[in-house]
Amino acid sequence: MLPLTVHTGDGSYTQGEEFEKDFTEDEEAENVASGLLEIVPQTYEVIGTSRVFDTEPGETFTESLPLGREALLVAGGHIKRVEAKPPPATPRKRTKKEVSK
Amino acid sequence: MAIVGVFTNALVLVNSVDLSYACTKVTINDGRDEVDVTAMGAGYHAVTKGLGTAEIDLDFLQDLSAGKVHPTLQPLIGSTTPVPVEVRTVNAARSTTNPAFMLASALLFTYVPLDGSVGDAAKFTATFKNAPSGTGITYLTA
Repeated sequence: MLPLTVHTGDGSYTQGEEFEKDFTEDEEAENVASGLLEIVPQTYEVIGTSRVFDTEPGETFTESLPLGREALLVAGGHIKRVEAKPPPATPRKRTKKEVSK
Repeated sequence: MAIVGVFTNALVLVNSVDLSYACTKVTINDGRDEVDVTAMGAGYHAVTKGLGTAEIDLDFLQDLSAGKVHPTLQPLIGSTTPVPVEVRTVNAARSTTNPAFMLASALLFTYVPLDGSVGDAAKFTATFKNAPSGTGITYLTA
């Protein structure tokens, strides 16, 4: 049975919770192999001239890539991470007081 | 019957990068050591199977362009990060008649980026072997 809480230097996380942490390749591999952690899929754009993960250049794919494989594909000029766009800012509702100003 | 006839369009993926266009030859080696266990009184050598050998050799036409052969393989020779190497007889989806010959956890051991004489095609062989965490050659149909 897996522990309900994972403690890291940055904080503690419960099962199913997502967090970001810079692991080394070995730490990541160990944690994934033990079943303690799972890599959250990331979106990548194919920036090279070859098909990568069945994806044509210029298109994007989503994959749970270990650090080492990601680094090799980045070094080869094949992919780049697509940063998730921040959610659009919702217009703040003005209070009656602000309206009257 | 699904006889592998003339090879014309095999799929070659190295770390999920499609390098089929430059690959001229594929060799999948899924072997087992022969271990002699012959004892006194035997009339014949008794041989059993020992450790396995899992290796994929790929012959390529060298391509130094960005995102092609050299930029894909060169980072692998200095790395100890295992990568998947997959070969299919036909460049189509995996199936029972088009299985993937997969070395899921492979390390590149030989990379000779240039090997030729004047007048030769710039060809070379890249040799991938089973990484410490690897499970040898697997045959995936889906």
